[in-house]
Amino acid sequence: MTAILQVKDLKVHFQTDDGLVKAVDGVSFEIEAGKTLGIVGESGSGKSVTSLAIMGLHKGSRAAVSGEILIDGVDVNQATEAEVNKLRGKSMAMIFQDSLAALHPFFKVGDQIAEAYQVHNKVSKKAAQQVAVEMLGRVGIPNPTQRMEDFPHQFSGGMRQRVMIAMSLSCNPKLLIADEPTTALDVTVQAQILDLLRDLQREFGSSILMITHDLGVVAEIADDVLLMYAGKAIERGTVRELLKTPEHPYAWGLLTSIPKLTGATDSELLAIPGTPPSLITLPSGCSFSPRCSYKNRSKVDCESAMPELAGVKSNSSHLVSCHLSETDRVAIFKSEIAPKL
Amino acid sequence: MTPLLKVTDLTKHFPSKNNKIFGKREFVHAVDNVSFELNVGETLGLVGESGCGKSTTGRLITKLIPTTSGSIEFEGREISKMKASEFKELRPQIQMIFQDPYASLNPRHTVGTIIATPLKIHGINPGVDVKKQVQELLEIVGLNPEHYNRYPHEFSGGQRQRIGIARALALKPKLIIADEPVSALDVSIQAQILNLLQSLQSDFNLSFIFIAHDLAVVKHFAQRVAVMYAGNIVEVSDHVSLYASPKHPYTKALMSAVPSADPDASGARERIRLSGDIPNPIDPPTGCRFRSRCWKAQDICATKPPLLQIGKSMVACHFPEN
Repeated sequence: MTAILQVKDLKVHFQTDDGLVKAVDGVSFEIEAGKTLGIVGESGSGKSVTSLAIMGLHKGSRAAVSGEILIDGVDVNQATEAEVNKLRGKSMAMIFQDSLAALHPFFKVGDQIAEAYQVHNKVSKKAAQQVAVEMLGRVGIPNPTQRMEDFPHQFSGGMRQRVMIAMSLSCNPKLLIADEPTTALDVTVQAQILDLLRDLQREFGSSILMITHDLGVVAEIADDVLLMYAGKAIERGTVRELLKTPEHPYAWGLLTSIPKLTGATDSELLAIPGTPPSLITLPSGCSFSPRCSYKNRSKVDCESAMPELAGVKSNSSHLVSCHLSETDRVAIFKSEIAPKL
Repeated sequence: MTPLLKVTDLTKHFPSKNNKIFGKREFVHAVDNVSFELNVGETLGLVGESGCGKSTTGRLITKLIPTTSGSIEFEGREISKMKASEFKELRPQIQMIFQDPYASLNPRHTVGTIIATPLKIHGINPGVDVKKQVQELLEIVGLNPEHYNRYPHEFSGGQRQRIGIARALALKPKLIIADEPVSALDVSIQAQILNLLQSLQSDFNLSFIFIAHDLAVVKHFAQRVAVMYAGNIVEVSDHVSLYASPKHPYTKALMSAVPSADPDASGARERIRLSGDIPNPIDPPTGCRFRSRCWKAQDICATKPPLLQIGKSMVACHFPEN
């Protein structure tokens, strides 16, 4: 298997008046061709900052980016703006959460898609327009030839998100980064867009990096999952491993705190106590330890050091960063967590 | 027993922005003939997609906007046509919690001022120390009473939502309209706020109208659920039967669209994918408003659908499921 994208020890730090914000602090992962990786985490966990770093969009900002981001043999971090520009479009493309903000309000959507295509391909405007019509049809917009002439505000939210997808796929990228593409949409529209992404992935063979806070969306679309908390990856595995046999107490907390649609209603939700830490003054040791209900079961002092992201014994692809011993984790999961899932 | 709240044929039409001075006046049919009842200590969930009229319904009940027609009876008293001066006496009993904890708190006021303002306006217990009352409220919602003098920006989103809840509780209301109270919060914080609302409900015997688009959250919190589509209620049912056997085709489609965090469940479930968009609220379809997207629609659907009682569910449909 060949990895389309390799991220090694990515760090994105922002110097602010209040101190150094470690938005992303040492994250590594790769995505294989045709696969979907879901990055899950709450607001401020660093998932969007990671995606912007991959697209090279921190260049020229106050962010200090270190580590390696290898895509098509080019390290985005070392590359010049012109080199990254070459990667954008054909190697990687991005769909943003808020389609109304991401599309230019003064230009017709057809022209916007055609322009994106022309930037990366040497073709006439007419040919680019033809590609735009074709792409709009592909993403399920009725009457694409007429809709080309419409402005973004004339589309509904779901249709605008389709326009964004059409634009990002126009150059047939190897990697599609989707940053919360369905968060602003209603569930029925979300289901349409997720179906569309899946179909297009099959057709174009792109890899997808899906950034979301919704475990349901991850279960629907991802092959692998990376769980982030306070700028660090704390668990990684296949979607089944992470959602059916999670190892990290934070993953347990997330799964037991969401209300379920099926089955009986529980009297009370098991909320994770406290709030996510400030990224300037991170707690010492494991950054989740102040909120962790199981830290007293650990034989190691959880506040001593951040645990390594290490493989679970039975399965080397399932990684977790926790001081609890594997036998303890299995026992806690079996007796306390699994009955509530 | 008189229900705490009885809403009958509630209707709200907003004048369209595109109205021309001499042209035909057009109206956005935001809420049309909505009827339901709410008993003391009960929670009614209002669910639906954006633009279905659920928030407008909440605003009509709190009289933040005037109704076009229909009646709202609170403890047997008709409030929809009351003047503001008459309604002021009832206002303490109907309070609201808003969606956006950033926009709904005045950034220039301290938390103490924000929570004390309703007490001052309504002159509740003027003899008692207001500061003490506010600090008690802060403690009830799980905040540190010492933070009385802080400003909203010093709090996180979940904490701000707690401040909004304390403000709503200040006047000891009987009915709280909660308009998407947790949708702006992260999942781990969402559960904390839901648990807080639930314990407050049993402590103070509160009744809730719980407006949300997240079906799982509504199922968890509300005993009865009303599903809205394009300004109409299409189905009302208790939370268990609504989710176990939805009767209206739209409810069924809505349920099947919710992604499940269980990778096994997502494959097994029946999927219904609706095509198209919600109808234009200026000119909604006649009869059943869902018929333009419904796979069961026939000619008869252009007439007003009958209100059928099936088991514990009330459904407005010509061809209900099962």
